[in-house]
Amino acid sequence: MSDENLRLEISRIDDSESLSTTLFESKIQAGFPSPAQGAYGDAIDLNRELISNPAATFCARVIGNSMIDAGINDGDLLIIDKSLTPHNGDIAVCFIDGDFTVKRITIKADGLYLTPANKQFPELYVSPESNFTVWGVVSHIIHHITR
Amino acid sequence: MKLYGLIDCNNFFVSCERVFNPMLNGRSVVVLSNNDGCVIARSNEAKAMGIPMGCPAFQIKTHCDPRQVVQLSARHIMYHDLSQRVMSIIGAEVENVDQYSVDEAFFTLPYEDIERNHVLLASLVAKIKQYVGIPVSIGFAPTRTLAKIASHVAKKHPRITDGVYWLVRPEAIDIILQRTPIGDVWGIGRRLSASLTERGINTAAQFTQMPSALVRRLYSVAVERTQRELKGEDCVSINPVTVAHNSIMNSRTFAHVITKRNEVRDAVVVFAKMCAKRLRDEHVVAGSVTVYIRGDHHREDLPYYANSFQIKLPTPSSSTMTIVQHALQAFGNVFREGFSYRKAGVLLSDITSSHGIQLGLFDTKDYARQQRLMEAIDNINGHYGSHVVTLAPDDSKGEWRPEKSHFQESSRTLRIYTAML
Repeated sequence: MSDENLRLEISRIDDSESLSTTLFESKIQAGFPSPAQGAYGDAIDLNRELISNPAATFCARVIGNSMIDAGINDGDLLIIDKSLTPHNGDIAVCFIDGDFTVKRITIKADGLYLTPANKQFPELYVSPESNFTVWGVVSHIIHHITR
Repeated sequence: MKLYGLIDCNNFFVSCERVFNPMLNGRSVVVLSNNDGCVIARSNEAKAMGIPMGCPAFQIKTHCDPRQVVQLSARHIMYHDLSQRVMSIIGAEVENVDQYSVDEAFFTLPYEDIERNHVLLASLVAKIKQYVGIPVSIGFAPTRTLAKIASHVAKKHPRITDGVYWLVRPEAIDIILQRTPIGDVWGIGRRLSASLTERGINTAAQFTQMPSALVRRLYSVAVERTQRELKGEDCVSINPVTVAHNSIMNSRTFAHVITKRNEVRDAVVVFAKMCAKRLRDEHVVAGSVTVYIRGDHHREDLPYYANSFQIKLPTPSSSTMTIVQHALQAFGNVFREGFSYRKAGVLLSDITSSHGIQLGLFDTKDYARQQRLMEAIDNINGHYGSHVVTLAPDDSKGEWRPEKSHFQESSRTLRIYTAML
């Protein structure tokens, strides 16, 4: 069992409207950016920014804390792109023995592991007998700074 | 040579459920319709257990141990979403995609070379499996009718074919047609296949041997066209609009039996409106309107009555007003007091392209004006939800509505559906 308090609910994305917002092209180092520094006023479409392949993109909301050191917090929204081929080190939504979980995929000499990003959780060895699939690679995390 | 493809999603509703619940893989799964609880999709395991399509949930036990079958309530919004994803993936790779149902689409192939097409389609099958999680089968052939048969072969033998099968060489077509029961041919319905079987025609191959004049005389030009298609002659593409959809139908089983005339009538009006909207969405018009109503076959305590009535329109139309008006007229001809009704439906047929409508001789309506009105209504409803502006006799909250527990509200938020995982 990985961690029982991580649950995912999977949703599709309503991309029927484009969500545009104004982009600041200035480098943010310290202090406030001055609008005069960069090209102000270019509109970016958040759907296009976050979704490169709509047919293969799904959303999931995270419940649980096993990935907090990777920047994935309880309540965050994950954007999952199933068109991406999973590689070693990718964070992915995986299905293992009846549960969905989000973890880092780690390939070691003795096999595949699902690695949490929180020291309180153990690494999980994926035995060849287990019912395991990588459901989709996480491409973005949407995290609210203020709640 | 022009080649047609048919893509068919395998056990589509069950496959959709499996995307969000992989534990269902390898298990016997059926999806039930929302109200009457009849089987509308079966996994291969459920098919092997002998559960027939359309089987009411309470009769599953007569075919197998019901505890071994996972029974799920249909979630059409989710199926529609996954269907759109599949269709958009195909649309990026092949041409003239014509979606024929929620889980099937015809298209034309981009290359002359058969091998090249095969490689492309095999990669499409793999892509759809990875991107969406839905297994599909594709057949391709010189005609749509043959492409459909080829897709059945691909579906039956997924390991040998990798989900793609083509029927182009005459020898291969001959062999497959000999093994295809006549009832499996696209366009040969149950009644027609019973009639053909009575004449000793059991396979598609035998059907192609019948003299075409006889087919036309006994049945119809459409059936003769099916025969020509089986012989490799591409004839449905001559007028793609009329053939793309032979009919548009909207029907529903009610949550409870209904006896009141007004309630059944209101349901018919809503179905007629939905059908008319679809005509306009697809830029086609209908030449006739059929209304049917029926009781509940499972209620032996109630007298059973079922009937349908077709009305030919003076001029083919997609106007809600015209369609509703004729649907009401047809309804008046079928409805009988004193019976209980469990299902009603509206079927629009003789569908043709809306460009170049043949005006009836005695028809004096202002079509341009009606069309503008309809477009305005569609626009408003598209923006603000589907029942904001309606014509007078409409009771969208009526008794006939499906049971609330299964009815999914439309939602503009991200969480269109959530899978309990």
